[in-house]
Amino acid sequence: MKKAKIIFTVVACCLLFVNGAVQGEDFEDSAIGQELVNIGLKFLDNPGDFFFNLHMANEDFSPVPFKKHGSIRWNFFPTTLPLSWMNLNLKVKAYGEKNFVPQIDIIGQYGDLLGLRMLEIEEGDVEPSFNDYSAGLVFSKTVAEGTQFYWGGKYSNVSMEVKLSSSSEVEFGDFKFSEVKFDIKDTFIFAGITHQKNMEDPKRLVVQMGYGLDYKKIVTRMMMSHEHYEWGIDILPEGMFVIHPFMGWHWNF
Amino acid sequence: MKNLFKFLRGGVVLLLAHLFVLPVFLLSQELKIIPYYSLGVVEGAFIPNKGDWNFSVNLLSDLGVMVKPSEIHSFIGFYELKYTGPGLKRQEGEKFTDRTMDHLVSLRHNFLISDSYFLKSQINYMKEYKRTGSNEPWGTGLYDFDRMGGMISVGRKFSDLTVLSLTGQYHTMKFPNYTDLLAEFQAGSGSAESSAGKQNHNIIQAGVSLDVDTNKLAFDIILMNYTKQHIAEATLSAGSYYGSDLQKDIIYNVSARRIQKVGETFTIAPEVAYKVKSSNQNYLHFESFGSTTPPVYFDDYYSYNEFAFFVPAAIALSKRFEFSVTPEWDYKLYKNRNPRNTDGVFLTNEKQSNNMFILDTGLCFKPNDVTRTTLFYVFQNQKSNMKYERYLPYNYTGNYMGIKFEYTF
Repeated sequence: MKKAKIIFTVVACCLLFVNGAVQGEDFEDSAIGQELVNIGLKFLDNPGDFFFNLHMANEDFSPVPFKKHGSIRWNFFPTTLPLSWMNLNLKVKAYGEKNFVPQIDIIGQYGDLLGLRMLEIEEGDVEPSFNDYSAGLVFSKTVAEGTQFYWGGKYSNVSMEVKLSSSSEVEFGDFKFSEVKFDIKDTFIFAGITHQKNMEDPKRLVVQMGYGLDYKKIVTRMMMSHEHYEWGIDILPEGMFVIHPFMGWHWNF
Repeated sequence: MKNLFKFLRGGVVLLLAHLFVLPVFLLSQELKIIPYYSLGVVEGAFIPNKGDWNFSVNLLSDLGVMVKPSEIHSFIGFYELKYTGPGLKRQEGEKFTDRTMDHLVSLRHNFLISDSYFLKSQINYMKEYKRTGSNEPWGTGLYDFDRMGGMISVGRKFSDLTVLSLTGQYHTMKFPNYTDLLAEFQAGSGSAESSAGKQNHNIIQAGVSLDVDTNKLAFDIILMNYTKQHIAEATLSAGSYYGSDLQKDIIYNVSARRIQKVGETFTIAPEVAYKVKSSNQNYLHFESFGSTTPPVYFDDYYSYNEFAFFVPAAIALSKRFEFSVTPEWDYKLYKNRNPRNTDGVFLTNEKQSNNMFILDTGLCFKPNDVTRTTLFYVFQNQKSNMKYERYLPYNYTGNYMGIKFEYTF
């Protein structure tokens, strides 16, 4: 049971309030309680979609800023905190914008759910596995002073397998969890704009909309990026949570 | 291997996307190029007096470019991705929880033939995905459709303020997933194919519009010819309900609008529109799915007249703030359709009518030329003598409030 608690602290701690909601009969009947139950059911129906949406926060496919060669980024909320989902996003400017040829950036991202590595494997359990990565190319062109239009494509993958022995099953309201298994891959195309009001000030606004070819997932991002700190929201209209706030740290070099 | 294929496919898509965009910049040295990008996000909550309250989100992304190789020619390429989430619907026949996703691609050519005449031509393609259930994957919706076609318009400028345009359009509408479930059930599994494609139709549209200063008068005729859907008939032999004639709908639209500025800060743009829809389709009412009782026949069930009146008004409070309000009235009267009472019984001495009122208000903040943020509140009220609301709402009051963010370059 201890292991089960660790798993759910790791994989669904933001859903723990649902556990309380579904056990309180009066609360369950209320509008908010019902909404929480619906959210919980949505998670149970497709946990992979929820993790894939979180994975979006780890990615940053906006172009390398003006006069920089690359960027390293770490998203600390809501992945590393509270889920122990470590991640790194790396951007490299492969070709600088010159005349009519756009800037070309190569971008990759990798993450790992450290909480899963802490699990003790018992007899009957399958060793937990987790993958999180994405890679892609971004083209950008300056369309006005301080404004870059960009477009590109990326391939994203998040997969996870956790299988519990019968003694480790987790009760979740009327449901029992014994296995979480998904493998979601998709190719996205996207376009967006970065806008820097003052060229001496690294602060810039990023807006972007992307579309997944397989799952037909729409992702919209609005982000404010400062010298090292950035924050924003991803909007996933069909997701368990429509709005995903995120915060990250980056170093542009 | 599958992953490799997906990687390769992603690469091909990216390459194609790049090949589409790059020439624009390659040519930019010699041509006039005007790129366009717009992103709109609407996030809010709607609270109807019937059914559950819910959050709503709408997203809109436009990507376009105008290329002007000479003074008389210009080309506009445009792609739009639009998501419409749950919310109060303006159209009858939709649930509050329905969602749609649209992809629209169009290419337009504007040609200035002379100082007085111009020609516009356009080809376009649109794909709409529709979700009515929470678990139904995108792409499997019964009412998903593909629309393909084009438009040609010729106009004459009588002066800088007076323009007359004649426009013709042709589109095909295909519903790849649509099937008539009842017909399939009645015909048996062997004839399922014959029930598919019954929503497919062609649309021919002709219109004329006259712009005089800030006044606009427009008239359109729209013909909708169904390619497989036959009309229901009163009494044929048992089990045979459809005649040999295909469904044909005709819509007449006439509208008039005036934009009036009052002083430096106030603008009002009243508009009236009148629509007449005539359809040769009739309605067969089955008591229940698989009922052996003969269906009840209703003649001319889909024809109606509709009158709408809008009065958008906006007042600039300062350089950065604007307040807008749009009251809208919409009356729809069916020519021959009987309403139903709460038990579903048809009231044969009445004709169905729907009255809708919408009050749309917003406070818009424009900190610069490219971003707009609007706090909005919408009140919507619909009344109808149709009281049978087991599947769709007809009588309700709804409140919708939220925030809208737009970025346009």
